[in-house]
Amino acid sequence: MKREPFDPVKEREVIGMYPSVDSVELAGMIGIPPFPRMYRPIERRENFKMLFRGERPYWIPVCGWFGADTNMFRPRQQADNYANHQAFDGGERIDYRKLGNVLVGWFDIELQWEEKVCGATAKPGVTKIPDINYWEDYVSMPDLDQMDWKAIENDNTEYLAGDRIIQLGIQLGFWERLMNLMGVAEAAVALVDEDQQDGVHRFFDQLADVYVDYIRRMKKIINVESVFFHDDWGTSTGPFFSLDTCREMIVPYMKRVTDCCHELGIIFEHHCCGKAEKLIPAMIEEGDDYWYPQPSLNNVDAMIETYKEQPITFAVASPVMTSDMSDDTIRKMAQAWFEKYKDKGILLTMNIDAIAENDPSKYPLFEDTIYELSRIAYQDAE
Amino acid sequence: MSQIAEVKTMVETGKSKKVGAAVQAALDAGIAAQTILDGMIESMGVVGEKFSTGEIFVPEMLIAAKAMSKGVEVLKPVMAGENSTSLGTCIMGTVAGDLHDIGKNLVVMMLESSGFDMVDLGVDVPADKFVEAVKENENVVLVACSGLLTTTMPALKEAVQTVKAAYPNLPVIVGGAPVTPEYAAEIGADGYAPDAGSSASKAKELINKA
Repeated sequence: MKREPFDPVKEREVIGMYPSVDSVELAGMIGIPPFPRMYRPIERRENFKMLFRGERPYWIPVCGWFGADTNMFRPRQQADNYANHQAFDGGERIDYRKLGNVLVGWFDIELQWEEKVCGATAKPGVTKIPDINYWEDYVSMPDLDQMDWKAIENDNTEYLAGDRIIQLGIQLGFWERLMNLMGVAEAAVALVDEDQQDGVHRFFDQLADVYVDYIRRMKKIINVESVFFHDDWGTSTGPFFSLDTCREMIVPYMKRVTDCCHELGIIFEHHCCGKAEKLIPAMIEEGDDYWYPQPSLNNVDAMIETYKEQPITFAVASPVMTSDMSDDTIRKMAQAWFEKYKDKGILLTMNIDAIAENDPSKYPLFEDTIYELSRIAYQDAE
Repeated sequence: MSQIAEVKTMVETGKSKKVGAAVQAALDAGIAAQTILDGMIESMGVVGEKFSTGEIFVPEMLIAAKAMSKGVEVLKPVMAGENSTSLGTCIMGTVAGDLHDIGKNLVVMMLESSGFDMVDLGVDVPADKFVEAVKENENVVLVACSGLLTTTMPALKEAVQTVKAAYPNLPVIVGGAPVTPEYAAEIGADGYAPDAGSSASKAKELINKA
């Protein structure tokens, strides 16, 4: 079927608004305001899925936490979302400041909010699992029967309506969870200490069951189309652990999660901060569909080239755009970016690395230009 | 394999449960405690280098430090009567406004394993606290300040300059993700280490210069 040709007026027409996200704390503010929905020739979700079916999409899909083709969904009924001040859902506004800076996540762990980095971490000095070999004596796996699934189903109808791809966010993957429960140093040692590895395997084995069960239950009531799974494997200079350690200790469990996702037709995004390019072979083996590498730390162009034959793709950030740049300059940058990536099968995302010069107000024009260029370039595709 | 070589291998490979017995066997064989300690310190130097070059990662470095510490436990009673082999005391902390402790903790372990007596002030340490700690502790030969956020780089500068104002001849070493050698020099630090692995050799170099 022939594609609808690009119409610069019609496709910039606001045909509605995407709902606000009222209970997320980012950059010192609680809540993300509604943003305009433009006309698109096909649903954004369908365009997104085309990329992962190996087809030429109508435009380069855009991923991100807000303002993107993805609709991030992290219901407050999952305690980690609430404790991380990241309830991306349709519920009533949560005023986190009234709740104090320590909230309780899964495994009854106290998560302390730190405004400077806009995130929560295990309360310093509190170790939930002092010995991983006996973790069952200290913690229990979360009981998913206790979650209010009815509320998840009922409270989010409006929030999840619309044409964006519904992306279920899951905080604290295997390594992050272990760090939170044991402390960073002890968790790191446990990964390579032959006297502790059995305990780690036993813990991850059951944790994988929980994530799989969570995704399956969610899929029954919500049209989850993508999973955004947090597990930071990188530091600012390199991976936390070796590829061998990752393969031995983490990949088998991540693979169970991605296998479940793929069985359910869900696209899997591994969210991994830091410089982790050396671990891409593990990401491929475990079944990640895409990863957004932090541009200031990783060489995304080299990755695209190296892994072009592999079943993984990458989200590429917009370049750093400074406040003194004219609209014409931004358009030229977008043109250059598009020429470089138009045949690479990648996604676009907004550059959110903490680079002082980067002016986020320049991004909408950049994204709009990429949209137009890709719509025109791809409109004759079969 | 010689007994010393065995101890060194156990430290390098992080065999914390076995290293104690190996150290004891070396002692029983008549090897001087100081020789064994020097061997272990040398091993940690190798570990630090491997970390700096990306050959090993945080877990391997930590498990080696843990093994080193188990070995030292066996040596401590033997060395109690001997002259101190400490390189001196190092005051370390993450600067005010910064709660990151992973990098700082790694450096503490590496410096401790290299022979420094460490006083760890923790995170979010105001500049004055570093000076107070220098006053309160004996034989302070080095101050180490860590900063992981671009927003806390001014606090790093303040910490360095406050210590240098009070103790102009006391070396100060800095590190952390946003810190560069140029920035370290600009704020008046005597040295900079890009990672925990190289911190020990840089620290030794600084105290030898002082």
